[in-house]
Amino acid sequence: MQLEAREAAYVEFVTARQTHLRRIAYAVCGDWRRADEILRHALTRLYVAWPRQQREGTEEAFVRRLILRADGDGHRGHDARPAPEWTPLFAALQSLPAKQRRVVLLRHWLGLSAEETAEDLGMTVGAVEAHDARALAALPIATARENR
Amino acid sequence: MTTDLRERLATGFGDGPAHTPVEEHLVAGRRALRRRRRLTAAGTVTALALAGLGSVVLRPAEGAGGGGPDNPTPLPTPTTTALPTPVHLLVAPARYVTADTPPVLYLYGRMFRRDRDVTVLATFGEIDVAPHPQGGAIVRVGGATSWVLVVGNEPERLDVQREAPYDYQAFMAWARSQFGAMSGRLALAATAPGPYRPPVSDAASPAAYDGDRLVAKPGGTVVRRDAHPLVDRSAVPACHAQAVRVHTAAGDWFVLGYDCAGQGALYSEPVGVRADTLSSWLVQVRHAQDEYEQ
Repeated sequence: MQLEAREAAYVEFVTARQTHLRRIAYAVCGDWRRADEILRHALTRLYVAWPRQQREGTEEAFVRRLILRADGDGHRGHDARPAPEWTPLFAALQSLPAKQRRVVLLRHWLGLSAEETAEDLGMTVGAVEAHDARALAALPIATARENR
Repeated sequence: MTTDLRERLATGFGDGPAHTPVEEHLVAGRRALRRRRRLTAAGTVTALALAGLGSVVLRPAEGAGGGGPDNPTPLPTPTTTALPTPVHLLVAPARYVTADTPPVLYLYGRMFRRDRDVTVLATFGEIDVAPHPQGGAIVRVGGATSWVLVVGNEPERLDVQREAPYDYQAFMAWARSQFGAMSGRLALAATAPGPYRPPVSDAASPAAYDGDRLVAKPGGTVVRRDAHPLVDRSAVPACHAQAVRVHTAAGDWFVLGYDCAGQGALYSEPVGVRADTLSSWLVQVRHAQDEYEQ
């Protein structure tokens, strides 16, 4: 692939998907500064891996997996601080353990299947379902629905 | 419930501050790709590839502010005054800590605090496209806030520090401007045969730039010059490399210099460490650092 074509395709993808991917990163970590750092690393690695990811149509999944795994390396704690614009549901989401939070985001925000979620997070389908059940039990979903 | 939950999750928070320009991702990607492919003829050249793509690297030009480990860029104006929640980093085992250990250090690829007196306010880690880690932190020690950058695992480490206010964006910009030369300089030291010797700073080098020309500092004489040493032009299209052998009373040195878009960096090593002639030194540096970058 010619460099110009590669970069044009990369720029087109980043331009179109950056906002959404950044929001995923923020939902994972709850901190815009950290989210930008995670996204920057992920998009840099995407550039390196671009020909294969584009050929296989997995650009977004590639970045999403890097985002989801970036903040779980133990290098720093989950230091999100509540922001004024957070809804009670999102605040509760941030208080969940990391794996539960990721499962909820993938299953119930991004709409991935249990199998796809398991692949993204590197866990079994059974583990995904277990984390999902615990997370949903902990989130203020019923209360919020009643208030609608 | 899922559709309802999806909508509520998607609208559960705002859009945050403005996102990073696409061009910045593009530049970072090019930089990573070049390192990954090892297009550069040597690790030092790789470092300059970073410099050529926007990093501010550091030949101390007369009267100019310059940049980099030997010639820091001016302090930024702080844009953030509130200090964040400290970042948790493990404290390094005492056996790895010496008098010159910086506030943060790398052990086995992981960043540690030097001791419990170091409060880490923020960390910054470059993408791990090379085996040696490189990253930095904003720290508070004894009431003072400092920016610290570290390349390489202990004891093969190069660090640079400066006192500066907490300003994460300015810190990141500074970090990116430093890593190129730091990485190249550490690569030169780490691949030298024999006992590890710390990298040689520009100030300690027996050569310096005089305009566009690499010359010996007072007390030394250039006894051999290669005005066009072998480098990969596709990797560093904007950079001009020069190499000299300098004779001094204390011994002879090889110096490889890069003049990149009006700025540059020097990589210096005594003659005899890995070669006895300038041409063989350049070849061996290229091969050794190429291996280092894998």
